[in-house]
Amino acid sequence: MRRYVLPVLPASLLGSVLLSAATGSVKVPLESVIGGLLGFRAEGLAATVIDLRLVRTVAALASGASLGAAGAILQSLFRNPLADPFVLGISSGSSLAIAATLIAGTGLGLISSYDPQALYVAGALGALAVSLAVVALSSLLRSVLGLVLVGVMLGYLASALTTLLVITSDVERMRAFTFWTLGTFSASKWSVVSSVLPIAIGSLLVSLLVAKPLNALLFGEETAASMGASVRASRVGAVAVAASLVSCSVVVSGPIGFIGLAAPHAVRLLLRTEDNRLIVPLSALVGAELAVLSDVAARTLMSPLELPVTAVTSLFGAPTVLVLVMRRWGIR
Amino acid sequence: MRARDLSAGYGRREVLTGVSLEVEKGKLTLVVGPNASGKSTLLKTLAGILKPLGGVVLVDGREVNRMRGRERARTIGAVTTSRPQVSEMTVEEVVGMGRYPWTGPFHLLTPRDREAVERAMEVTGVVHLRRRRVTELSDGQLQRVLIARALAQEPDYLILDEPTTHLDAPSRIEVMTLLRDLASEEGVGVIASTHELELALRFGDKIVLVSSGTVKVYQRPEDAVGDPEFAGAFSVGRSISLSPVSLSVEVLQRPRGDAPKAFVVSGSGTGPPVFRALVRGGYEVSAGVLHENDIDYHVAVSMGLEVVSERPYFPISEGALRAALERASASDLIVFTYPPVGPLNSGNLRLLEELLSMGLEVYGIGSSRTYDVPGLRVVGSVEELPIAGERRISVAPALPPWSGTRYTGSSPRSSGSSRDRSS
Repeated sequence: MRRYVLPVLPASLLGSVLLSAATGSVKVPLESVIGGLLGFRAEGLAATVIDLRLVRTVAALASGASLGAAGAILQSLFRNPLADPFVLGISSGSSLAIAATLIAGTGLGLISSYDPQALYVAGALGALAVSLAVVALSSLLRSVLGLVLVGVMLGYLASALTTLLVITSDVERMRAFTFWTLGTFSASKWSVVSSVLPIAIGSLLVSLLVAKPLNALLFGEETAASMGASVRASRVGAVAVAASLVSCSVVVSGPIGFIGLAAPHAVRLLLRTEDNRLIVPLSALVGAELAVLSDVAARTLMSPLELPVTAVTSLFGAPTVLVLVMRRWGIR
Repeated sequence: MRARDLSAGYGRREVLTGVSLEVEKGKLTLVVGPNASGKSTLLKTLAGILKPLGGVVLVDGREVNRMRGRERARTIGAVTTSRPQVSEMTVEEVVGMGRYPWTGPFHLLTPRDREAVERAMEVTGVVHLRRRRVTELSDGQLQRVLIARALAQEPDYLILDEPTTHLDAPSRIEVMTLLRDLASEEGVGVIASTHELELALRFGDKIVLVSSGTVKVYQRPEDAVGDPEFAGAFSVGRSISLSPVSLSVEVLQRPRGDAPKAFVVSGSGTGPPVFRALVRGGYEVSAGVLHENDIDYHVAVSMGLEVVSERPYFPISEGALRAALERASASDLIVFTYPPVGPLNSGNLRLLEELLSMGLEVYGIGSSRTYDVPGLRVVGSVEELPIAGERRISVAPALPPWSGTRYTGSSPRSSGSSRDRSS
């Protein structure tokens, strides 16, 4: 293990947060940014700009961290280097559940338009449902690509249903729902972010607890059982935590691809370790950083036009998958 | 650890029934049996990984199946056949995982834990590998590391499924030696399955045969060898034999009606390489006159050869000589191996004289002979025996019998004499 990498990760995360708050179509001096972040109120336009950027930065942090940790858990659980909330269709399932809840809930007057907690619960249930479907199908499909294929198809199915829901709803809502089908940090609101943030932090803390049994499962189910791990409980716990994390991310930003895939690989590559006690939390860190940087790229690459974040994450995510697939089959 | 009237299997399918056995601390119990006979099922059930379908497994009077995972893991360690996917972990990390049932929710190792890890690495001889990654280990090293991981649990009992499979010959012996030392020196109760019969008989304090749906326990390897059911479980028809003296496996001579006959006069260990070479060469081999306490006698009997024998420490009798003469003179090839000769076996020299006086040809294989017998045709080795037809045979005492070339040519002559087997 390379311990010297450890301090680099939080430092670069801090740097990317500063970068995120400082970049955009309106120029804000760096000292105002730092001042704003430290709580000193900046004046006028600068304050508004910093506040706007800060919301999406925090949203990116929460969403990216959740995705990174969830990806690490899923990769270890499925013993599949290609596992990721987006690739396995879990994000899309979560997204579908949220869209359905929004339409049904607001239509029937059960919930106000953006009730983050209700959406989180719906998203978590959707994520859990898809996760369990993947788990059930994975026991039938032993191959690495088979699992991915199942996940991608489930994801398409969920996206299609979400699109149907969105199109059949009225025009004003449609625009808001596009958010849950595309994935972006641009629509972040403090009301949503601040109520999901504690759940995300809680889920991240719980994710630290599944690292130990996940490590045992690396030795195979029987050996894990002989070491004193309760295999079934560990699995269920890991899936539940991953679903909760994915839901947090989706509520905040919609389905965002590849962060959950790339972050754990980056951590493994940087630290050369297999230890989930490190991989899970550090994947959250790297995931947060990837999300923040992707967001910066999304709003600067084609400025003043803004790209969907998934378009940016796919730019690095899809090649990562290709490289992993080729490596596995010995093609270089 | 005691299994009482255990039934084991998967789901509703019973693989083993009526299993009663005891695994004792300080002893190495080896489980043998044909493939798919249920060795793994038995071990998994003993380890508490599989639920017994009937009966109980008790450790110190407590039911293994009812123990909590942590508690059980502190009592029983297991090494299964599954390959761990921990390629990037270091040896120390892998062994550290063995502290699983002792550590808290974050698996942080205390000094006490580190001590146990250190000790487990020392006992298994992997301390020098501690910084190596799993991918950099040989199969034998990996197996020792996995055993160290199980030992780090500080269990009273260690259960291993096929720990020597996929290992090269030196590593197999290394692992078996390690298991025996763990039992005898560390006082652990070790039970392991293996499909290597000879290793099991050599290393096991106790042998468990798993065959046809149940188990049979032998308190000593010698008891197993003496049981025809035991040998029967391992041979197709009657192809091998087990020597109760040397605990070794011999390939039985398979008599063919038309095989040419060879008679070997040997003793004191000079015979076995020649027996094996001639059997491989397609001969039906008999030997004599051998004393029943001669090593050549044991090997010949184990190989299923016909032997004209004499009681231990008695001079060769006239009766034995006549029997040997009769058999030798009816053979296609007579070979003398220049054994040491003293008062008790000097009768064999008389046998040679008689055979020579009958005008028969007797070959002597004696590159290192210390005395001469007049009239023999001396050749340096078995390969040089001028054998009827184009038959070539080779002797390679260092190689196991199954690796040799087999005689496939047609035999020059057929003889249909009666075959009374002395073994």
